[in-house]
Amino acid sequence: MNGITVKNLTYYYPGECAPALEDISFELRSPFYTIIMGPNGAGKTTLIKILVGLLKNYSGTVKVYDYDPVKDRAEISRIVGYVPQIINVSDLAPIKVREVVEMGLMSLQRSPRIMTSKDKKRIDEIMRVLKIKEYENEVFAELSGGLRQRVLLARALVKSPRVLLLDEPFSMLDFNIKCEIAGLLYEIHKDLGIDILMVAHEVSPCVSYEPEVIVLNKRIYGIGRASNVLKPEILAKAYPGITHMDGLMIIGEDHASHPH
Amino acid sequence: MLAILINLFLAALLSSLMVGISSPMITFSKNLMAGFSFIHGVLAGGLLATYFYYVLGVPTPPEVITLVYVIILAFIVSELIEHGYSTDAASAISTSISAMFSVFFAYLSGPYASRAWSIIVGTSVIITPREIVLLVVFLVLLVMIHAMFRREIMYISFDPEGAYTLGYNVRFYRYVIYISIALVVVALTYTLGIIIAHILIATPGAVALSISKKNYLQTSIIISSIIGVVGYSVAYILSMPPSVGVGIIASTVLIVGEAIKKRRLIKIS
Repeated sequence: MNGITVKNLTYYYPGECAPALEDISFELRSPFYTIIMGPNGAGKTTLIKILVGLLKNYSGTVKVYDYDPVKDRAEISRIVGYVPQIINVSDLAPIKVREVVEMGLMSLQRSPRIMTSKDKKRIDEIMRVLKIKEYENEVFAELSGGLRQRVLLARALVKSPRVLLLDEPFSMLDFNIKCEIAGLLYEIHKDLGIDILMVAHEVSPCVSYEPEVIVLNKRIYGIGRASNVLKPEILAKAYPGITHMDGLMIIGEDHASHPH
Repeated sequence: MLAILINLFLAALLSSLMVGISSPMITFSKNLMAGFSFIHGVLAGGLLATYFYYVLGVPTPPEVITLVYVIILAFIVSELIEHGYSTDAASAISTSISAMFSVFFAYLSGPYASRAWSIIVGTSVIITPREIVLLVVFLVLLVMIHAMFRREIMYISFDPEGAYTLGYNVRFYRYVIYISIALVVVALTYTLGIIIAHILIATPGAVALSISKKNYLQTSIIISSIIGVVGYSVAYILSMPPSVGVGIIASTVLIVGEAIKKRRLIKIS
């Protein structure tokens, strides 16, 4: 299948009695621009990590463009561009912007990884597209959040993946930067034909691009176009901290629990 | 007398170069605790070497036996991390193993155990040409490892999960990091001693990364050379063990580094 298929996926973290994900199933057919939303601890990052092969001992079936994330690691590495949360990359490592982008391209080579002039051109090209060329000799840890996000995107894009899996690409960013990143991701999706699946606490920066939304809180509570899914009755099930007040709906950032 | 001074200077320079190259990597790959635990491993390995060399009469150089022991320890730490232990927990387990073996091998070595004293205080006052050759060999190995794997070491230190999803063999490169730390701590501990090795593996890297992330390697090599050469000279002038001189200069560099960093922050704000 040209896309992502998840069937009856259940995952427990080692030593935990409660599942992080419980019997979830969904299908995303290419092309897709999809957001997984849910409260803290809903299993959003867990799901992304399973899709990229970082978490292994799950039950159920997971296929990413017909490849198994655990068994077909080489193919998954080639077709998936993974963008981690900014907080998950080290601030201590004095890696420069260009080196971060090189990291993506050099992964396609075997050791000793020798940079060809074609590789250098590809890196220049992707840095220009993402408007980070002028920062190429800056240290990654010394950049702003928005620029760091662009650099991590460049690292994922430089190897021409079929799909981008992004873990909280809007975290710790101002709202206007969130919108800028959402727009950039939409451009990448439309212009380069790359599928997008991202985890986010909020969908508002992307709403104008009519994304598909998966509402997750250990289980899936809704899946479909944002206009069909972002409804009080669906959100109330997934967000335990939800409050209704004079026509307003307030979504709390409680840790996830099983809302029944 | 001149030969002793030349050997002393060479030992200072060679060990400083090793530290200058590896200290930033130990710091930014968050492996200081592992480095410290390997230093404890050198004591256990040294006592094992003493037992082999003096009691059993095995003619293998003690430094080689020690290196093999520390590399085995490095594999244990690496595998523990691979199986979900934090670096701190894995390092603590390796320190416990080494503490246990230190006592056990000291017991087995009987009266020869006192020879391990040189590992604690270092031997560089009476450093021999053989030890200089050993330092050169260790330095060449370290430079080769860094030349071959510098890129990958940086990648897995920066983002191990991202590196894994890109297809890098994180487990293998973690081994590479630990083997290079093993080389450094064995060389340092045999020449300078355990106490000062603790200061040296941390100081140049930490100071260099805090004052110049862009040119951290050059800065670290300069800092470690100053600490090594000036430290040895101070110790010689004051007729004290080298570890005292090196310790004084390392502390001074740390204070100066902090002052430079503070001044920069004031300028920026």
